[in-house]
Amino acid sequence: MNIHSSENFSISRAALRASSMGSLFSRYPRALGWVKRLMLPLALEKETAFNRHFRFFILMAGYAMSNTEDIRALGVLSRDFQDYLENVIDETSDKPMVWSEWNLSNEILRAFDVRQYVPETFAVVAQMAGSDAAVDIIELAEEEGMAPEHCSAAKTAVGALLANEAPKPDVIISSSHPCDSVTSSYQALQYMTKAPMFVVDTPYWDDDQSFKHYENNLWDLVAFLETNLNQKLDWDKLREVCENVNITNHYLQELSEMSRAVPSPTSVEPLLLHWLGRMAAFGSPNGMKFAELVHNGAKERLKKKQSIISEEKIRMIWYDVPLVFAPLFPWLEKKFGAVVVSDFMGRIQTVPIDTSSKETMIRDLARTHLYCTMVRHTRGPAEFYMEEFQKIIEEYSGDCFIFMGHQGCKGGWALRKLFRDVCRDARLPSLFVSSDIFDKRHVTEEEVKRQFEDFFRSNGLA
Amino acid sequence: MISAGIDVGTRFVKACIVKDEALLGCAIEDVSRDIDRVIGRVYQKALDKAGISKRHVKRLVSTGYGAKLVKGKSFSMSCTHCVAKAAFVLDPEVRTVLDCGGLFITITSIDERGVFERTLSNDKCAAGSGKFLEMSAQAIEIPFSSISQYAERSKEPYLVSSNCAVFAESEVITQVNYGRENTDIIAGVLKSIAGRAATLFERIQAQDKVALAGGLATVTAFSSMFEQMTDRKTVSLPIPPQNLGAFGAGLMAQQGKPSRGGV
Repeated sequence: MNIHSSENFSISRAALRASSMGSLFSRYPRALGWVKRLMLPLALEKETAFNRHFRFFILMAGYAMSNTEDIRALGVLSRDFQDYLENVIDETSDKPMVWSEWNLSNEILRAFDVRQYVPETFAVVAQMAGSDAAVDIIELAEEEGMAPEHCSAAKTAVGALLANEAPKPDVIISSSHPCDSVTSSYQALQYMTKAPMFVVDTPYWDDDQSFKHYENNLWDLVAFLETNLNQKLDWDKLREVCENVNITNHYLQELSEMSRAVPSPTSVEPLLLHWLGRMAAFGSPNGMKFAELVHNGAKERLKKKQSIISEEKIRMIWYDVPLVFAPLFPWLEKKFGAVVVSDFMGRIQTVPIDTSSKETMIRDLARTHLYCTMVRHTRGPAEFYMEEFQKIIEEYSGDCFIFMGHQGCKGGWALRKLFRDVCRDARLPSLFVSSDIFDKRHVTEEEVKRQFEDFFRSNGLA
Repeated sequence: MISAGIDVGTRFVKACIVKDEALLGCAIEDVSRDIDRVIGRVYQKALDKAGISKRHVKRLVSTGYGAKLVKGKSFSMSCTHCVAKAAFVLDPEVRTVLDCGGLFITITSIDERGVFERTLSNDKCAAGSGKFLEMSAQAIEIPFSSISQYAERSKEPYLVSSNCAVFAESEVITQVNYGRENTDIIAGVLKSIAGRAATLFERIQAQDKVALAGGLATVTAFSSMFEQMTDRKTVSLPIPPQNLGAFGAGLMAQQGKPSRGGV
């Protein structure tokens, strides 16, 4: 990959090719199953010049998600991802381009006739061109003055713009969460693009006044978009999107609950994949179909008391995601029979949206946004994390807790001692790994794997 | 089940033969150029001391800086985990282990189940390590085994100011040329290393009991200085402190399925 390529969107095009292949194969789930089985051993151990362009894609699909229903579901989701990428790189389109921060839900945008781009998603897209590509993009942002301490997702968002991988925005939507890194990176992005920007002000607490404040923000956002896009929000379209969201959330929330069973009929992989999909197309028919398929597959296994992998030996509770270490989940499943039964990113805990009127939709969208992954944790006090963690420990029969700390997440690291104390009280073995979700320079995959092996063995789990 | 642990350190290769939680035999030898032969010899010596042959050993686990160099191992583990396991098995009340080896000082805390909890290590080259002490002792012509006797005679220990082993060595040579007493120089070097260990010890908020491991644990003057600086008592474990890592690796090997043949 050459980030100084004169061609725009060279990485996005590579990712689009991978996604299109996945989407094409998914029409033949059995064939895709065999392709995955054949490619997985080539991808599992380490990144090489040979597997660089398919490794991330294959491993993101996981080791566990290998039955026909799950593979069909992956295909459905990759169609949405494909649409998203096609829209991003379509330089001929006359539809306005809206950039939306990754922690914001995009239901409202789907009710406008716009294209959308989630800048931080590029950190995931870049991995599809090999982990060196992501590092090149991050280094580009650092060379232009982004502090190394910034979150690598924020650095990638800025780097993508510098590397001609980001479309020109007409409007930017940002928010005051989840962290200073992301918030400040949007100041840089606005400075670089000169596009009008709306910042959603996220409340600290979880009370009626806070929900009302966020609801007012959403009304202001609608007004801002209508003015700057010179369009009216299509309320019927929003109703349709919200109904899709309700069904999707129902399936995913049940999926989250199903992994309480021993053995777990599912892992967090489908939930995490949907979390990534949510950034680009939450409330889409494909997103809903994906949720339904993975839900049905898990329900079947639950009835038969089957694990999602051949033999579940270790049940892990996980903090944050190992994206650049996507190989970790399949590797842990295959080598140790270790399944992530709950985590803070994929786990769905939200409320239904009342679609009876405009007012109820905006009111409940505000609530669902504030209950979204990361948003419900990072916007307030540490208790938001700790109370949910206590609940997870009580309900999910975990054998251990994995704190996969992200270098740029200063707030997360500040919680380390609190997590350790909770684990100690619950007599739950805990592993704290210092990593960076998107930047492999921080720690090598080999070193992370070594820490896992040591941890499992010294705790008698393997 | 009989298992073996081999610790390939930066200065010495150690091997222990373990049955359940008992040490059957152990051996130690200097690291040298032909590392494969050294490992083979140490392993064989440990087997001889245990009075068994290779075929009796059902699993072998390697640890230490050169853990990957050991052939025929079931798996490798980091030394901190092995040291934690060994210390706890030998004394279940131990909660902190200070491991001072050839290149690293490592402090490890252990939870009440005997599982490794947290570790801190020196990050400034070899200046706070056994190799530095060895180099300094050679420069002032003191045998390693007599370091404590010399240090205890010191009236005014010299304060080593360099953070780097190379600069510290030339500082020591300069002091020799100035005519400073050998006793003061070696006491100063020991004090410098103990000071680094004490700093790490405070950072990890170490809990009692504290056990010493590694080659420096055999230098009584070092342990006295460390105890003085931290105002804590250290406990002696019933096996040679250098063998703690290899013994722990042997204990780790007891977990899991044994291999069919010997290793």
